[in-house]
Amino acid sequence: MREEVARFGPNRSIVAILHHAASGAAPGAPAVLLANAGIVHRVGPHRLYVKLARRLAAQGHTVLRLDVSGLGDSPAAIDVVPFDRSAVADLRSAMTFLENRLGVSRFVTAGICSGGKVAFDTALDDPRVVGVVPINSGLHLHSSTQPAALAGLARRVRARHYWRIALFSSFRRKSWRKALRRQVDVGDRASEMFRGLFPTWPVARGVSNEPRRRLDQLLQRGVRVLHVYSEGDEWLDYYRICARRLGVRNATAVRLEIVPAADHTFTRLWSQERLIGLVAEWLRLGGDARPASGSDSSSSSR
Amino acid sequence: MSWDTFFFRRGAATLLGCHHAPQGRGAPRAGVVVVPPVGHEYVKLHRSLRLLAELLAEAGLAVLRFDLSATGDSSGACEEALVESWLEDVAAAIAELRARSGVDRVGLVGVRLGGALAALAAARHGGVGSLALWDPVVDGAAYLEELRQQHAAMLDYAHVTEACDDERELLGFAWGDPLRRAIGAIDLLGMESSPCLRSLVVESHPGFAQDRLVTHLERMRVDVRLERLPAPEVWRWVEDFSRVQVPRTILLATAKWIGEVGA
Repeated sequence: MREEVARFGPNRSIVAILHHAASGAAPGAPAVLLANAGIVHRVGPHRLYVKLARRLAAQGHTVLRLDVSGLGDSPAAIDVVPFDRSAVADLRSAMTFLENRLGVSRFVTAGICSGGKVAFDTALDDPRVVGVVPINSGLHLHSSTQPAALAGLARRVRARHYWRIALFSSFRRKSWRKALRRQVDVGDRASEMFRGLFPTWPVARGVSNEPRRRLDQLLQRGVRVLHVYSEGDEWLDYYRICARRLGVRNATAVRLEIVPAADHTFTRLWSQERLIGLVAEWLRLGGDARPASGSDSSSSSR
Repeated sequence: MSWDTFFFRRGAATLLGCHHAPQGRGAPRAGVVVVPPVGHEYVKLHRSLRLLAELLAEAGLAVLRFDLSATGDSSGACEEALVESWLEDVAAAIAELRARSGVDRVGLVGVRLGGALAALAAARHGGVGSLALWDPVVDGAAYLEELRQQHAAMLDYAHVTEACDDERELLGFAWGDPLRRAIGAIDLLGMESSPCLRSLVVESHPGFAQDRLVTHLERMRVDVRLERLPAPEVWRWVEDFSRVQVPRTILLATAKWIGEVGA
């Protein structure tokens, strides 16, 4: 398969790796853009983006792994635009580049952690995006205009996470063992857990409608959303809190997949394969994959 | 500050390269190839290596950073990586830098396992004047054991299943049997031919004591300088990738040394 270095954006400063789609595999398939996972350069944690891109290219998708301004090999933008805005601008430049170069006009944006928020914000901003895959992403259902309320929400998310991990997760035994060995700050954890039982009022009020509004904006355009979370990831609790309050159900358009017994960056090899398989399958079905049953379709096996 | 990013070939393999042109006017004095570490260490040190390349370019040197085959953006799957191929990658990177920049003299900077590869490739192919080694892996078997211990600690602590029935798996990467065997056989103290004329050896942690390597290089009439520069343990696996650790003292010392002695 053909891979090449691509440069675009202001002064051609954005560096990316372009994976050409395997010829004839899936004509008309949307191109996939992978946004940096946190501060990791375009290869992704454990080189996961390279594996994912090669799998999707073999399946017939053009894939672009890019370093947004200030990360990896792309120099920082010289204007004063905040990072989250410049990153969205970089993804939009990437779409324009692929449109001009290859004639692709439909895109799916994806990313792990903060890359998922960049992917989501880009989908909101640009009508060329037809699908978005936030992976272990947090706060992407909110804009960052209500810092006080978001701080309260983050506290509640952390508390829910600690309760879930200690009582209901695959890691509950490990979690208690770590507490007994004092590998974690038990006092701090306990305090977080009990404070989280009594959410502050701004959490309940201030941000309540925003996720619905942002999701609706995408759904009205027909954009498909695949959320993927690791069982061990704190942001799964963020998504659960938002989804429950707003009545976001697992459906064709907004889908949730959980990779059990996996961590934030998919360190275990089998969990990497599981993630790649989920994204590839969702794309293969055009984002129309229906949940197997119930309100959540969680992956149940390794 | 700008650099050119491209793919270059080594046989059937395609390697990613980043060429940092020397700053200032006139022809470059010499060139430096940066040989990266592998696995999670490379992911964590990518930014540091870019900054190091920038510092070297500011000192008037042409610099090539590159990804070893089956790592980073280069071709190949992780489990296909081979030490023999990596040694040839280093030679191909030197040739690529010479072709791109027109320099004749090329030095090497190697980090962790990249340090071992740089030394071994230099000893095999010759022609390297300066060799800077940052916490180089001297004993491959000990390095693998260290990775296994970190992997076990990760399984014990992180939100992952603890059972591990795949020997190839180390901290998120697949290390094939031939690769592990070849790394296990690496012993820089067994080098019989001199890799260079002069060397800087940087030791950032007592766990990576380099005295025996320094003695061995001196026995081979290499002019060696040992620098002990404590730095954050950037090679350690952590789940949280959101913090950047750049051991600036090491980067500055390395760039200063090469700037002074030349490549």
